[in-house]
Amino acid sequence: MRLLAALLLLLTFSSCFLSRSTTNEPLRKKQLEQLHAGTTTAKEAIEILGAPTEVIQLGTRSAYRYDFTTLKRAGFSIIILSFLNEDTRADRAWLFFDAHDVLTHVGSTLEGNEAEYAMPWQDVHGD
Amino acid sequence: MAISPRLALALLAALGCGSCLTGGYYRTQMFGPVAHEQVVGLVPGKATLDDALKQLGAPLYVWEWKGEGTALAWGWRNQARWGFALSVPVGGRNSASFSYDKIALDLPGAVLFFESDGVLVESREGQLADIQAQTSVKRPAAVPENAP
Repeated sequence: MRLLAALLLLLTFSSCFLSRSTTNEPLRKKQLEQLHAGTTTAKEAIEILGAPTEVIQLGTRSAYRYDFTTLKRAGFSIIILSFLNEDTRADRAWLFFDAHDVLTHVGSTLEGNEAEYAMPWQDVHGD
Repeated sequence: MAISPRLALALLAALGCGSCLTGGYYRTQMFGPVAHEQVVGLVPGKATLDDALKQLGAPLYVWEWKGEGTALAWGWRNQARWGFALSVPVGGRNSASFSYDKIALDLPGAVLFFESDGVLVESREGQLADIQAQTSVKRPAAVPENAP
């Protein structure tokens, strides 16, 4: 009976876990600073940043998306009850080009490295 | 410590059911939020695409709007909930595939609409997928070169 109790206790406490997954490569601020609205062409942007993740057609214009995503999961289970937190943060950059493939606007958010491991009752970013 | 055989059996049964009956407390935090005040602070007819990108950062998703116009969407989630589920395995294999736009647009958030000259026309807040469904137009497929 003691062995059974120990086994149950072991099963109860053996289910803590952490996992981290990323998509694409992190964006670098220095590379984004090399882009200049009004002069940088789509070809030059690709030479600096590499191939975009997605290209969206906007009438005769276009927008290129670059992104890097980090997902951190943390949790534990007690028999059939699970407690899980998922935190997803991303680096994102959108490059807008005119009909002649000249850069008109750049928008970037670099927060891919801000994902955190946490418990579900923790609001780690204070959002 | 003494455990009665009945209690031990009940605990084992509960453990055995872990694969079919599950529940717990879950929190999903996705991306940084955009405050309502920031959205309404961008005044239609005055604010530009540059202003929006500087104040709100890079959007989550972008789509074509009214030909030469552009819709920019910011989405986020910070939701915690209790949930319980009963699952019954019906096959040996499962597969799931989600595209970026599916994940991005499955969030609540804000969408700003700009004319081709980059001036803000309007802003909306709500479920991004619903707003996109109401405002995006599917492009007709290109006609193949060797079509009759």
